[in-house]
Amino acid sequence: MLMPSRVKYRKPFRRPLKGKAKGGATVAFGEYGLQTLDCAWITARQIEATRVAISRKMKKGGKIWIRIFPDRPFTKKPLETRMGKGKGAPEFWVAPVKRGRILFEIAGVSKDVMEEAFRTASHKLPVKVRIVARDGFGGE
Amino acid sequence: MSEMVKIVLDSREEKGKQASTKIRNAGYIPCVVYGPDYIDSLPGKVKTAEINRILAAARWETLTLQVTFPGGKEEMCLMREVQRDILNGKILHIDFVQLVKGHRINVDIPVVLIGREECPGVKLGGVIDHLLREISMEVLPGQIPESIVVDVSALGLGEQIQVQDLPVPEEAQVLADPDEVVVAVIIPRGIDEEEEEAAEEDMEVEVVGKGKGKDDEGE
Repeated sequence: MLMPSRVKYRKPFRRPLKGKAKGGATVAFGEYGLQTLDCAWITARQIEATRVAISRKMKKGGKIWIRIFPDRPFTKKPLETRMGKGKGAPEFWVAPVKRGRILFEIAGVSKDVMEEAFRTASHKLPVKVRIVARDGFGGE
Repeated sequence: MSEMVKIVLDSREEKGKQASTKIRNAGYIPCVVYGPDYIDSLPGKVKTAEINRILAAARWETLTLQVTFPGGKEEMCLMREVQRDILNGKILHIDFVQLVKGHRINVDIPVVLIGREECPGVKLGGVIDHLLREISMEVLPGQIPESIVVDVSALGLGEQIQVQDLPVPEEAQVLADPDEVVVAVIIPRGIDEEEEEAAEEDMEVEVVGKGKGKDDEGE
């Protein structure tokens, strides 16, 4: 699973996600992209599950780009613990994404395979998504 | 060489977010014009319907426009940037750059691939990796090519086309690195490697900032 190698702070504050994505909102590498329509914290496990789902549908062809990275630790207090006594321990990593952000991109597969791959991928994510194509993609 | 399309630019006094929203709601798109004669940039607005028609019909990056200014003056222009809303795709703002006869201009020309179906590398299981989708070149206003067409029908597995191999017009000066790869046929990753990655265990993460460290965990 994706995670950073080093971080500045172990337990950052949880700040709410508001508004639209400022960058990373256009298809930059591949031919088609999966764009989120909601703001969410997407966990490393969800990103990995989505990547595997896309890879399986694409079989051995094509190329995948993951446009988000889970660089934010998410803390949790242990079960059956009273409140207080400090903040919980980091449990997993999340990628904060805002509306409009491209999550995944793919290239080198037919439109049918791409649609099926992204349809399956959408079931692995906690957000509403849509498929977007690069401007003027193709050439024939 | 690109064709010429006529467009009318109206004057715009208002600036800012609220004024721009009102302009958009009235069926116009806010824009600016800059160039050798417009160093400070000239604000204006153009009809949304006209722009939509142009963008739907042609490659806007290389389309030369005959822009009629509020005073009746006509200038040759190029659309340098089209800002869109990331969610609904509506056009928010347009940058026009003035073209002056005899003055060379930097333009990003789209690189278009043809012959994908016949590519022998793809038939062997490769994937076409289109790395450079726009190539920057310096050209005279009347000689802007619509696009650079690259034929990949003879590209084998592992082979690539570089900037120096592109069919560029003689009068154009390419600004990109000649050794930069435009398109390559790469060998796709296997399924095995992804399973290996998935099996990776969580590693320790180094904390570089000031803080209490590991001792501040809850019970």
